[in-house]
Amino acid sequence: MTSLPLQARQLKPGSISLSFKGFVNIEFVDSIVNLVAHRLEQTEKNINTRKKVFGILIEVLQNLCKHIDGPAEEAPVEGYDARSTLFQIEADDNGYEIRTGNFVENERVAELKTMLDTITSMSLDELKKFYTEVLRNKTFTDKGGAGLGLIDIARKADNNISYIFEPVDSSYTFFDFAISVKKTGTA
Amino acid sequence: MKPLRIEAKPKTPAIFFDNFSGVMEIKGMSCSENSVEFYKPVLAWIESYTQEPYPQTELVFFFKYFNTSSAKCILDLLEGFAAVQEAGSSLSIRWQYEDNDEQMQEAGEQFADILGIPFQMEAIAVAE
Repeated sequence: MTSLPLQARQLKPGSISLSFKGFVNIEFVDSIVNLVAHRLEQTEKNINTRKKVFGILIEVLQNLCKHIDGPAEEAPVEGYDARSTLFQIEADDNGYEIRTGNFVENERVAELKTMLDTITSMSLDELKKFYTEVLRNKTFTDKGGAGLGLIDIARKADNNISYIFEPVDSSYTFFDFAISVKKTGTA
Repeated sequence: MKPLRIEAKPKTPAIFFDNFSGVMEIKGMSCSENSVEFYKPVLAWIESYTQEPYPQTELVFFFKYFNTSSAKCILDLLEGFAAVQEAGSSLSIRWQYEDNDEQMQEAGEQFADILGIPFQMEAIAVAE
């Protein structure tokens, strides 16, 4: 095992490395957001990149909080922690990688997948129009559709998003969601 | 009817809506997971105000950041205030954003587009 001081030395200046697995609630979300925001203030000079990463964090973490479901602790699925979510953020010279993992009820998968497929098929201009359209019509619900949040994340990431739906059992699918934000010059 | 004053918190903005001057200011962060709950009394205040508005209504909105659940609420606020025009009050909207903050600038442009009302866009220099 690598000693911690060496690991710390191997992290380049300006980098961020944080991963978490477990149950999330809103207090946890606030702590993570504050923690990363504080680090971003030190390391990210570009206001737009900083606000994009910050915004994506809020959207993905608040989403995780809303959709904290999964196999009950009494009925665990081998290979997974009950009601557990994963969250990770890494940053290096090139940009930011944000990943989340959570259980999704099988009946919600088709809707979520259709939404993500639609988003990733769009150009940035189309995404902007789509955002306005969804906002104008308010055609989404707080729980369920999750449309506006996903469109917002995709816009902030210049549509650099990817996702995997991994079947777990007859009730749940594991949703693995990755978002990248590239670094740009100083604004 | 009294002015509406709400102090800023880490996840919710400062609000000062003054029915005696017609100036309605909102400033700061809006990223609560419970945006609907936060804005509910604000919308109720706007609804009362539009019954008997000051002859000129001026909105001054300056967000550092807002999440998508706030976006819906902010649109509701703007649509609520748009109703003052039917009650004979003139409406002007000043949309302020941190200098170089393209996202908040674009957000303002999108709201203006949805409402069909031109916004006065103002980039504000903020000391780091």
